[in-house]
Amino acid sequence: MAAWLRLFLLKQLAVGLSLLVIMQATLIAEEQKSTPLKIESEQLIQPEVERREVKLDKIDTEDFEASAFFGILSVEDFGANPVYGTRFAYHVNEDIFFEGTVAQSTTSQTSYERISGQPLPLLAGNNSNLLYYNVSLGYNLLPGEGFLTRKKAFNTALYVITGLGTTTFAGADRLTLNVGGGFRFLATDWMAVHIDVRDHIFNIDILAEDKTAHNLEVTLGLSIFF
Amino acid sequence: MRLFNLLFCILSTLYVSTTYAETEVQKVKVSDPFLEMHTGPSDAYPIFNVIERNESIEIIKQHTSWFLIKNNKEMEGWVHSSQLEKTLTLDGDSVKLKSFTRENYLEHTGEAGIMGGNFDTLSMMTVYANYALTKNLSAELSASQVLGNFSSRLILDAQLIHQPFPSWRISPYFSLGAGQIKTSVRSTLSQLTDRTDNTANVGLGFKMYLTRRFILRADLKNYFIFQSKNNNEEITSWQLGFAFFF
Repeated sequence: MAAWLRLFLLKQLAVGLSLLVIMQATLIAEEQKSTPLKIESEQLIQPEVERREVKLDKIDTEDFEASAFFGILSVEDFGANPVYGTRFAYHVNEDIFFEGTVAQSTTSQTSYERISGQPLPLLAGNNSNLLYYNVSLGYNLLPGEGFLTRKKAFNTALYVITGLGTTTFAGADRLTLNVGGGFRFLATDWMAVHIDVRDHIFNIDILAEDKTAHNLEVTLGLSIFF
Repeated sequence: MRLFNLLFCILSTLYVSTTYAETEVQKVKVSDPFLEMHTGPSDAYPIFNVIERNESIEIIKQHTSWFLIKNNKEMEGWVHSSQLEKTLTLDGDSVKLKSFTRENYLEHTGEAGIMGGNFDTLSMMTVYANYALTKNLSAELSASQVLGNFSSRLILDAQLIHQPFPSWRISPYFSLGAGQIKTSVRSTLSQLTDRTDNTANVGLGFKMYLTRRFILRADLKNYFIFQSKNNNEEITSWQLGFAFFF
């Protein structure tokens, strides 16, 4: 190889190397410049994470409760029959709640009708259907806990409830007072199982005399808080 | 069966909306002196853990005045809003935690309740809601049902309520309203027919603050029913009920 070529290559190598060194140096310098900044900014951000503001409106408020229930409604003189319906509740504070209920049932023939073999039923057609709605006020009388195992506990509550409403039965709307109580078992913090016992009291004149009928109801329900 | 299907649909939609709703977990550092974690959302439930200042917690949800929180050891418990006041209003003095004491009643936005009583000699029940226009004045909508042996009546009213002394524990009020009354006659009585009439009413009553957000209300009203027959009917009603404010 010619000497001039070797010299040329060596020169090229020297230039390349020196360029590389300069680039490296500037990179390091840049890094050195940016590193302390990065630490500083990290320290600046840190307390902000700790002192994060609470967005009150982002907190999920669960004061409403919707439920579906089924059970047995005993209508005085007209047998005990399946009943199903829905409830909607608003919890005002930890003790008091308002509740609205709509439910329906179909009554059966009276014992007399069945024994005597009457060809014409007392309540024809739709009149044997019973539909009621009411608005009630409930009070959590005994809040408590149910212990399933040593480590697992569920919140429960025994409540009393009373309210007014209307029962559409035997061709008329009847003012109805309801009195009762229930047991709420919170399976999770948003879902509960209810057992309710109510007495629906209304006046009825279908069997000649005007009398006060007590209609007992036992239901099982499932509710969701939202 | 159709009703049942409808119920099922409503409940399943509710389920979906509650589980998939965009809920952002709020992670905060406690600025109050300490938090007492109860096992349930009531003072009746025992305290099982105490959280100190500067510990970080997650706020999961709120039920009435109680907050479900989780500490850094994954323990969940209920804390009353009064103990979280400083933590929740940190950095933003303008953000005010809505608490429901008697004093706060003056700042309430509305009220809803149920009442029962008599309309002349017949039984009556009412559901109502109102909106506070000022401290003294509120606009109210109500629906009442009157049930008798021969007829049933549905009354829809809009009224203005004036409370001259809203800060009193037992606060009297005056009301002035107008509405419609729909009378349905039982089919067996053929000489009378269903009808709808306009009404106006004046009333007075009182509201009594009982406990946290809970109000007792007594109401006396005089109804003027403008009947189509030209002779106006005048009926007095009285009711007693319970309400809550928000």
